[in-house]
Amino acid sequence: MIWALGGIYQRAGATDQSVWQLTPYRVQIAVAGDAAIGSPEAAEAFRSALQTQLETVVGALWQLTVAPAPPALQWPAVDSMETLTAEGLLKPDEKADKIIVLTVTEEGCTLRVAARELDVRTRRFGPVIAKTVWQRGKLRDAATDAVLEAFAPLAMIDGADLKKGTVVLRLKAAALPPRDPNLVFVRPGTYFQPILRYNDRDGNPLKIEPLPWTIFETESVSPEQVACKLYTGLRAPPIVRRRGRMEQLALGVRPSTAASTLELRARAEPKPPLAGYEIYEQGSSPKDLKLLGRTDPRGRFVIPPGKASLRLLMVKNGQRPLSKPLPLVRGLEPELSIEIPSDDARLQAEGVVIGLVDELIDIVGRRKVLAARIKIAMKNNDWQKARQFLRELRNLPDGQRFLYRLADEKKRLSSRDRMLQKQIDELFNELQKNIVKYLSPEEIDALEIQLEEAQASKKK
Amino acid sequence: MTFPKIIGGWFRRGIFLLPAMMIYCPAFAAETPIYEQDPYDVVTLKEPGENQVLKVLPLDLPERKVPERTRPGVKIRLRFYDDPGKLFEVDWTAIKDVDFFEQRILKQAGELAAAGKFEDVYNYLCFLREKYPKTPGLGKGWEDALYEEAKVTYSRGEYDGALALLREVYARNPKRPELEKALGMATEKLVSGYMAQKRYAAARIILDELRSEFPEHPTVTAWTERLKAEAAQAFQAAETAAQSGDWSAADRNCLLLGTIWPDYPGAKKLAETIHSKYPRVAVGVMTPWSPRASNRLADEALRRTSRLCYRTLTEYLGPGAEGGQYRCPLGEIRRENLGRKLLVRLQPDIRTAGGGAALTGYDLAHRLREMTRPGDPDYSPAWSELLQSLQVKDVYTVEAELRHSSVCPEALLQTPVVPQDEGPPVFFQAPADGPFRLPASSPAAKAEDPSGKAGAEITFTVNPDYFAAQPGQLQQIVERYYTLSANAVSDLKHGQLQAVDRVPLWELPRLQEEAELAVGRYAVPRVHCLIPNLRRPLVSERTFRRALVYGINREAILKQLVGPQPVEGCCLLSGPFPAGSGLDDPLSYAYDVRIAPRPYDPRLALALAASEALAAKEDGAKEKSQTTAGPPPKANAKPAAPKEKGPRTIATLTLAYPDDEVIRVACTSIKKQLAVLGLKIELRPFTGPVPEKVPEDADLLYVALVVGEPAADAGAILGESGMTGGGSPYLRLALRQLDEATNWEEAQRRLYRIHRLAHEEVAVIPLWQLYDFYVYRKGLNGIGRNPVSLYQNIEQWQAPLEYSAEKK
Repeated sequence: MIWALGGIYQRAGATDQSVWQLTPYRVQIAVAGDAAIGSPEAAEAFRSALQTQLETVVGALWQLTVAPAPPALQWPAVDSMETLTAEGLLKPDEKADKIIVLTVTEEGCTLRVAARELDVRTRRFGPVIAKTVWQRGKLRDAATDAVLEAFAPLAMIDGADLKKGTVVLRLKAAALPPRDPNLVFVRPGTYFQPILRYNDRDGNPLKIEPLPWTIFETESVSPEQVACKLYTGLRAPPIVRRRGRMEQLALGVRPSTAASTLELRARAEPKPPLAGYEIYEQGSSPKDLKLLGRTDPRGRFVIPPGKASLRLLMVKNGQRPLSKPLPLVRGLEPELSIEIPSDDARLQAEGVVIGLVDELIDIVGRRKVLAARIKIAMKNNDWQKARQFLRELRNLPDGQRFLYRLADEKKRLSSRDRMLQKQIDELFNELQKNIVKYLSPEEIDALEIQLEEAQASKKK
Repeated sequence: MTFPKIIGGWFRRGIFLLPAMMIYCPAFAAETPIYEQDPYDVVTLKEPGENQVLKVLPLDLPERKVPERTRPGVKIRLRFYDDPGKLFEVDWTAIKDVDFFEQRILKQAGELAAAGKFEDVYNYLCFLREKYPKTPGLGKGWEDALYEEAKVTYSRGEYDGALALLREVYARNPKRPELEKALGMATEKLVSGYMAQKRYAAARIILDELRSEFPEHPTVTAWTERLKAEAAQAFQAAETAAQSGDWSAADRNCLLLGTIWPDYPGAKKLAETIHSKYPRVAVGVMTPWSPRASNRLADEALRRTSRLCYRTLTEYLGPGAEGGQYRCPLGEIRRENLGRKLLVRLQPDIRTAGGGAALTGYDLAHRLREMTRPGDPDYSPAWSELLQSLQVKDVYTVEAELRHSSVCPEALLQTPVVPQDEGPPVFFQAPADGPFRLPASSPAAKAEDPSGKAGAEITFTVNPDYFAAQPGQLQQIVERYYTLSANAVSDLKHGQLQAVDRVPLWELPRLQEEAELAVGRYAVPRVHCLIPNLRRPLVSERTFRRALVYGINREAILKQLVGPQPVEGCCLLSGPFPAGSGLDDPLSYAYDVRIAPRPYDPRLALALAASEALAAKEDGAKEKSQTTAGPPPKANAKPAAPKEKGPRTIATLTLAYPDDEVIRVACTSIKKQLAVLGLKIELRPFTGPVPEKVPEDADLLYVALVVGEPAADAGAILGESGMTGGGSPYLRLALRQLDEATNWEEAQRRLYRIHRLAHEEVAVIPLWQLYDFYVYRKGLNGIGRNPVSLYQNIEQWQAPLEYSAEKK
């Protein structure tokens, strides 16, 4: 039945939706660490009690199975949940939607319960959720809490409006509310990470990858849909239209306190690390930017933990931003990377231009001062001094000399990259216009005429 | 940033012309002294009446004396002072008295002396000496004035002044009554003061002077006996210490003996014996040692003294054909694999003072790794980027793999290396492994920081565990701090010092003529510049910093510092790198000579500074009005009171500087020059170590940097962890590219780029480059030729005994 439903889901539209929202999650909980729980009977009782409690709380939303973890999984699960792999958990024709590995271990006088979810459809692991208890009697409640916290809701992307920055999601099993009305998996503020799953004709996954630098933030929830705000650092994220056998999914994510390391590399081969680039955090408005730091010589930057669950980061080099605001849910990914075009050549050009601007300011300043002194000398009928100042004025670097220098620098900094060359040209062209404007010889010529006329009229 | 905005905004602010400065001289009136008035004599006639006292032009009499005998009928010709055209004759017999002009002056001088106005007295007496040298009583008048002044000076407790005056009285009249007693009293006071301060040489000089005047004076006798007694004690103590092998104590007591009574029988021979076993030198220094110093580029005392107590992994020896020359005193360091690998082999048995554990490859590897960590005292971003991996090959060998070849990796490794468990590898906190132990005042010796007052001494005693000790090496070095080089040179000439670490350039011509002294030049000049505090308003703006450069007449100050004779290599700079002593000087590899120093242009400076100050004020006002909206001003509010006349103050800046003789002169001149532009500079001198960054509450920090290896030092000056705290993104990019340079050609190109950027954005305010000179007594050998620092070859120093505390 489920297979048939699955087949129908692949091809039909409206029917897909209702099935998606009406079908419960098939949740398998694999429990490891029986030794810590106690005797085999105690472990069995624990599992049974856990199932009962979860069914009581969750209800029809989950089709739940609680079983001992297979022998091959026992040791890895207990030893280090961070090293679990999807391949290690999934059976060949896995039917579950969620596999939650639950371990119980003794730590001194306490018991530690840890849960970690694998979402089967997206092959994504959630974070390890751990609880500590002092008494065995509280083990079931702690395990229940850990499992519920580890659970991540899954949704389908129903549509996106890039201009408005909104996305509509359809939650799986949305029509099946939990038995406990206080149990809410999705509320305003819940974050989702989009994941694209490319399938073959039979619906088997060929490739599953999260959409980088894209996060949805829930704004409103109803049984029919979840309306979200879209945050993306991509120009055109492929979530607007459905494409072939690509499933556009969204998995709920939680912020954590773990740090994330960002690695910046150049887009062009050999993709060297980009060192010294500035990482900013955007505040309430696009102009409200706070410098967090700079990438190290290996292009890496450890993003310091912040208070906000969702942060918008921006990469700049010199004056110029090199990325759109990049959304980051705190602690979601320990390692992040981004490839952007290397901006060093443009930055170098910018440095040259700013240096020339300063020089131009000084020359213009000197011109103004000398012009003022000439006028004062004329007022005092000190023609010799006026002529001397005029000579000094003429000896200052003129526009032509400056333009030659500009042309030399432009040639030195030319690049084969068309986009980059365009940016460099823009910088130089702007400067060129102002050289012509502020270093024109006409001003000096006019002053000279004024001087001659004044001197002549005084002689009369 | 858009270019039109920058230019347009700047012109809208307008240009301030130099304001006229109103100069006025306050008028003053003062009573004119007699000797400045037109001279006249006063003739008193015998016959009473209206015209009894006559004011006349100076009488033309032989030797300006009234004749002793006159016959009736002999007349004298007079011209009235008020009516000089008329000539009168008066019979000598009618004249009662003549009060000559010079006599009145002398009399008034006496009155002034009695009233204690000695400055005026000597003006009168000097006038008489010049114009009327034969005035009767002039000599006595001088003598009396001096004596009176001596009495007053003595009563004020200024015994040295009183003694000097009494000596002059003695020179004029050795037989003046009471003079012997007075001289004795003044001498007694002075000598007892000197003896209390243990200034024996000074005490002896004073006694000798009295002895030459009054050999049997009781003061002379008493104090001579006392000195001899103390000398005997010191001699005994020195002899006893020498016999027991305590050479340090023997030397100490022998020195004391030399100052108390150098001619004590047997003293010289004893001194020679002790010196042969315990050679020591005293060095005069212009910057005092501090245990807290950490800025190796800017802190001269640290560079100098760290060599005494530590041997770093690599040591800079001076400029070479390509970059600097380095040695590895701890063993051997080699580049392999086309510069991608460094192999370091330590020599065995390198121990710290006190016989600590021997240094091993594990300690070295730990050190090299720690230097990549930002919190480490020797953290180097360049080394952090360069080091890929470390491997300890055996107990004493470490191999460092580098990410790429580098032009001067040795320059990055000038760090002390101590066993891991012997504390942080910080100078004067870690135990010493160099030729001398830490001074007793270092933190490691758990004593207080010395005060850094003039005359303060620090003693460095030999480290018996030093791994590279040489036979005949010095056993002790005493550094004595001076605030004035003239005092240091004076002590050097008198043999109380064997060397002075630095002398101002203006003293060179005089010193080079001294027969007993030799002058040497350090290999690397110092780059003098002002480091701006980029966290402060105004100086954080590149336009304002440019204004400062234009507003300081650096050429004029440089001439002041160098003195009348030019010194090769002392020149203005346009960037933070040394220009060397010429184009062929390899040290100048980072200096782009095409970048000329900005000229002195006070008008442009004023325009730029004023516009930036106005913009800063507007920005501040805008921010304030956005945050707090106050009530609008009342329409009938009174206008503000008119401001004081004089140049308007555009801004006030604080300039911190090390309190060094040369730098003091420079900063004072900078202050005066910028004041003309309306930039008020508050000078803040400091003694003690040079900070690694500009103090938070200062706008500028004057530093003199030894930039021996620009390829490695550029980051330490201009980088984010450097002195400036990091410049523009363009400069940061250029510094990163420099670190990636794999050959010297590439490095030089990138250094030129850095020079240009630093010049354009005024990352530092460049001033000048000065070569420094040291001076020493010719008997002192082993300093070497053109060392980088004074003690570079300290193991080779040999100093003969120069006995006598009173060399002239």
